[in-house]
Amino acid sequence: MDKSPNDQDVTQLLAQWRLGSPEAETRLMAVVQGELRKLAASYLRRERPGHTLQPTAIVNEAYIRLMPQRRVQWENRAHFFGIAARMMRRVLVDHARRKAASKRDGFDGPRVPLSRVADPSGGQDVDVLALHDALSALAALDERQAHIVELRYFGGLKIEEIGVAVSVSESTVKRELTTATAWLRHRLRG
Amino acid sequence: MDAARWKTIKALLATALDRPIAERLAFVENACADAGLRAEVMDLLDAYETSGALRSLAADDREYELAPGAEVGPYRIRLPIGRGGGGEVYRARDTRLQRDVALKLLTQSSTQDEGTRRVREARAAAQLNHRGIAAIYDIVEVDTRAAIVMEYVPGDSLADRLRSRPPDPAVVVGVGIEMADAVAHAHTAGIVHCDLKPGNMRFAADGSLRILDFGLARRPASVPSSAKEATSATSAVSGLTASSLDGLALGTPGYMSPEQLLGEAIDCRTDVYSMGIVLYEMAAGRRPFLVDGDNDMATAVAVLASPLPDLPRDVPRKLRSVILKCLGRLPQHRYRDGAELRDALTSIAAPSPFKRFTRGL
Repeated sequence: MDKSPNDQDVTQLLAQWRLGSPEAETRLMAVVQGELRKLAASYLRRERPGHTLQPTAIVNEAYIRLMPQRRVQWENRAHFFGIAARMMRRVLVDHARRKAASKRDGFDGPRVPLSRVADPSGGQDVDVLALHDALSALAALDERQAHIVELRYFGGLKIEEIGVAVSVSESTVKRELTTATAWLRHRLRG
Repeated sequence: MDAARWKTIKALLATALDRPIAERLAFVENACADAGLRAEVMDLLDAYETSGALRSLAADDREYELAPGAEVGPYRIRLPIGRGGGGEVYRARDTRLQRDVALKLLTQSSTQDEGTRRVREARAAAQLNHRGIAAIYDIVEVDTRAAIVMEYVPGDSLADRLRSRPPDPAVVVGVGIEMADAVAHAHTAGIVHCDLKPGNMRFAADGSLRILDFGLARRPASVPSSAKEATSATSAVSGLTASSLDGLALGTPGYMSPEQLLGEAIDCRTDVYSMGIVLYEMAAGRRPFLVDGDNDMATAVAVLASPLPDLPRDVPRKLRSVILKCLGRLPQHRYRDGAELRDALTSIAAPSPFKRFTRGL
């Protein structure tokens, strides 16, 4: 995977993956994850001093890079983002764990609140590790609901797209997200 | 809690959340006979209503108008980076100069006059040349609308930094001087920002503060004090009030001055007030009028009706009095403009090592 994959690869992989090829899935995960890691790292390198990351922005950029200028089938888009959501979560959690070891936080020094993630609509940002743990706890109660949150939060999928990906109505998605928000807020407040 | 319990709670919670805030508690009281269940649902409701975390999770999808890859003149859209202040902001690539820019696509103006005015104001702001003000590079047309192309400033916003611990008073003063100095420059040119807030201030790579969004600055109805010599050119727009300007969300409720909230005439002292809130937030670690759940109306009521909460004891007395003066309810009780605030802050700043050296201290 040292060469950067072209859009052909990823589109084909997606097609094979949807037909049930396990090799395609493994390779696709690796490609997407590699791209996300590269992007996250370059964001941090370029944009000193470290800032809060917006996972959906990174996932979007990965999408553009991996499938540039191409009319991609709509289902492909949803599937891509579904995979990217899980990978993005993993990348952020790994990164936050590494950062936790070399933590230097302050107003003047190089603050790397990478474990914090910005909310796209301007709400409070959230500690990735805390969210990761909370989401795992929610998955123990309701796996589908936690999956919906993951698609939304880490992949930036639209409500309509989640509906298709999970095969439920949009109103159900909305309801799951609203109640999950309450649950997660309660949990994160400790 | 187990899965079955969560299912029960979730159903109650979903129904409660469908109702207006005022009716939720009564609904839960009635719907849950079991006290334990009721308490759990209430706790979740309370968390939902009082925390601002994860706001985007269940928010309605609003599409950004320009997709990544779209071209606006010589600019290629890369990513949406935010909304607010009268338009959507994108990070874009200037394909000629091969550099990144911030491109703000202004919302459709309600009248042609208004559209003309906004472009005129962006042109005025483009004349500003100060290291504390993000530069305006270009104004381009997109169909019938305008997009303002600005310097892209990567890095933390002041809002990002304030999420960690509050800075030392010396840092508050230092950042405050940079902020007030940049705003003073605009005030001298007859330009009022009208939407100063930590989210509009970024730290550039060299650590200096950069104020964004002067492109949307409004000319004041009257420009007092040091800006007098510049007013003659801008007096044509006198008599405007915030409410008559346009239907845009003007400003951000938590940082708006009382006169702005009331739709009265505004001038440089509105910016002084907003800077006072920013200084307060830096010094105290929170805004003075903080209302649960981002409720704009409640914030406005709090600003207009409640007394100013005290600053923490450890905020030095001189800094405290500067901040409180910025936050005078009436404009005439505040500093007249950015320059006066900057000078007040400078007078309380600890002398720099260089000054101590030259003074032989």
